[in-house]
Amino acid sequence: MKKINYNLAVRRKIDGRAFALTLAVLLLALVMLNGITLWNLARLQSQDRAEKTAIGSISQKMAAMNQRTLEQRNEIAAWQKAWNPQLAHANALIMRKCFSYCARLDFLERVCGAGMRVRQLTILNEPAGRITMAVSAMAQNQLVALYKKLLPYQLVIAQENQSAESYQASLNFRMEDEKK
Amino acid sequence: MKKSKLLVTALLGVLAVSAAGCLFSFVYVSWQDLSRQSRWRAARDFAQQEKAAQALEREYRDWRELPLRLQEFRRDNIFTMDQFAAFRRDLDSRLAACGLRPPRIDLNFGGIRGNIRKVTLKFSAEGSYRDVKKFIHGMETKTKMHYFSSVHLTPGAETVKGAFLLEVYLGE
Repeated sequence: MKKINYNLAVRRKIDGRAFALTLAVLLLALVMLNGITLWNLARLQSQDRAEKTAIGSISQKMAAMNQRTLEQRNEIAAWQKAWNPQLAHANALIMRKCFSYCARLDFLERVCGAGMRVRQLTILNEPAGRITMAVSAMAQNQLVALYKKLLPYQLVIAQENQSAESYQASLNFRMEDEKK
Repeated sequence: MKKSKLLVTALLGVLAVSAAGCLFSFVYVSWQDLSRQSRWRAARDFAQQEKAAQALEREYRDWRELPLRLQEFRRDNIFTMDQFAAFRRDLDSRLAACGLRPPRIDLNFGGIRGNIRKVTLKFSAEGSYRDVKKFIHGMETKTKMHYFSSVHLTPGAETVKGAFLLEVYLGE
């Protein structure tokens, strides 16, 4: 005859190993999650510290630089007011000193071909100075060839005459200084 | 049994809070990264501002040194009265060397501007085109502040007649 055993426990009995395993898994997950959180925050903090050092010095430099820039601008404005007339005068003198008559004469020697004669030539040393000249040529095509060469120099033909012997023209043009 | 259940429930609760915290830390780090990027962008702008400030610094230095430069310019280029006398003699000898003999040279002392007086010399001379050009070239290559304000050339049969207007600057 089989012996009958009665379980008189109030609650159900727990499987110890399974419970311990569950607890271990839960604790491990807990430790892992908190570890990740702490690692994240620590990384952020160290980055913040490095950034604060860098940005702090940059913002200090920026403030100092802005202050210096403002002072410099004010001083430059004052200097400009005081020195601009003398500076402009000196620059105008240098510009006129750089003006080369020889370069213009060389140019005219190049463009005036054989059979042409310059009857009058005026060169003015001015920023918008134009070279005024009267030329005569044996044939009209010689004059036309000269016009072609002078076209890039804002050529203005003031007068063109024809006599029995020659063709005459009064013209002016503008030439930039080659020395500049 | 009840205690164990409670323990597991509590652990699960703590785990949920930890998971939320972990998630939040990731979101927070990403957000901080974004704002850090914008701060670094501002720092990069600083580099550009620094370049502009360096350019301004150079301009500032130029302006600070301008009075000295103008003084040097005057010293090196503007005639003193003694130098002008020497220049006048040199002009005569240069004209003679080029075979040009102007009948007269008119001098006109003009007004003063910035402590510099303009003197205009007006003269005409006749010679070969080569000599006239040689004279012009000789005057152009001199360093002191004088220049032809106008040159008017009229060719004759063999020679060229030149009317010259020369400006010379004297320091007061």
